[in-house]
Amino acid sequence: MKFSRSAAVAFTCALAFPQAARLLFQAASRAERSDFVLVSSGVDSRTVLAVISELARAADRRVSIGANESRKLEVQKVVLTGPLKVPASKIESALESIAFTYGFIFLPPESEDLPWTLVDLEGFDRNQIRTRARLISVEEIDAYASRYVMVSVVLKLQRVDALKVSASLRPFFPESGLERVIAIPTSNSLQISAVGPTVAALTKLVRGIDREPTAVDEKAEARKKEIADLKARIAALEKRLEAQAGKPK
Amino acid sequence: MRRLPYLALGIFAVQAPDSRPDSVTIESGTLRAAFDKLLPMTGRIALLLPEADRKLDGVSFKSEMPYVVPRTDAKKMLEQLLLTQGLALLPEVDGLYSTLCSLAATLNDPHTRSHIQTVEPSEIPASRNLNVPLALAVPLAHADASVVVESLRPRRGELQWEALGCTASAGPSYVIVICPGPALSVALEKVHRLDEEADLAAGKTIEDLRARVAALEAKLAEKPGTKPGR
Repeated sequence: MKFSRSAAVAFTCALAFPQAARLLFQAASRAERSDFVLVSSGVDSRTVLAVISELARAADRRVSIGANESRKLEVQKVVLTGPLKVPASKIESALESIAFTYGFIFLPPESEDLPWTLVDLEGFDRNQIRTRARLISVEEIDAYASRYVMVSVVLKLQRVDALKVSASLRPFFPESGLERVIAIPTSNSLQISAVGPTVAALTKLVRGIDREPTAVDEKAEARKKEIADLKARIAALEKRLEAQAGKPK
Repeated sequence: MRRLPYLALGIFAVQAPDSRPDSVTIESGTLRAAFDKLLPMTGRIALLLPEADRKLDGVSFKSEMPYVVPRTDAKKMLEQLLLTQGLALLPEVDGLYSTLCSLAATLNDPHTRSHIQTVEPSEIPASRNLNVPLALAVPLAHADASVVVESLRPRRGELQWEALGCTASAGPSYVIVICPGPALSVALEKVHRLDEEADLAAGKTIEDLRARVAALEAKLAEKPGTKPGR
């Protein structure tokens, strides 16, 4: 049953990408899933493609890789300083992390029967990355904090202006790329679209900015107000003096 | 009693001997030589990205005499050596392994950017020696944020600002600083000093304005028939 379903998927991929000769890694059955030891060091270092395909099998994940991506992954090598033992529970995270390190990201399947798609962050299919981002709630951010998949979250701000906050975060995304922060003025919210760890870090940063005013803030506000009041008083006094000077004795 | 052998086996498994030496000797040479000696002492496994890998061979350092690094200091020593070259070991998958990469790519490379850790002011002392990109939003009570950001820039050379992937941006009443731990501490001190200076300047301004009000009121009072009040 499983075989026939996978064959159908492979066939679908071949239909969808007739010229791309996509690779499809067949996942291992869940019963076979166990800790995985990755050896890739020195002269024995393996290509990124080989490492990703091994990890994908161990992670029980079917992956579709286009011809262009495949060529790029075959050129680069994964060099580790020693054998890496990956616990079964962390194989998926390790797979996504290694792919992202080399400039690739996994797009989740659009339906359960389809494989995950590995996309080059700088390739032709990069537009898909943001459009297929998972929309997550604020409560789900921690669950994605170590997952290299594209997610999008909307944060409502309580005390600070979303437009000003988004402007202050802009320098952190110098390339006009996939990850970004957009202000939604109507609801004073920020939409953050990035990979899980970046979203988690930015959320913590924004929460730190969107805080209750402290005693120092209140003192500073009081000082600003006093300076403004004194300046207004000086202007009024000067006006009176001028008026008085103009009066005939 | 029959369970005893199993218990003994369990204890043996937990107390497996550590094959790492107690110390290593670091001498003048390439950064790779020191890296290859120190990394195993930390028990970490590193993934070497091509650019960082090349840098390990391309950089050498001199030491007046060989010095012994105990195992307990190996991590700190390794991170300091890497930081001097703008490199860092960024932890992956909850510390399962670390990627050696250039800090200069902190903002331009999505992978390195994803390793920025947000810290709060109270966490600064603990992260002072943390050689990973840290982000901190520093609230400003008195100083103008854009002035603070501008004044951080001239210190680029001093802090190896760009090589360490440092940046600062201004918000309405805060600055966001991104730097590895040691550089962040320096930047933070400067921000606080500027904010204090702005506080003093504001205090002086208030004193001057009050004096001016008093002088004007006195002048008005000199005129007969006028009241200095509102």
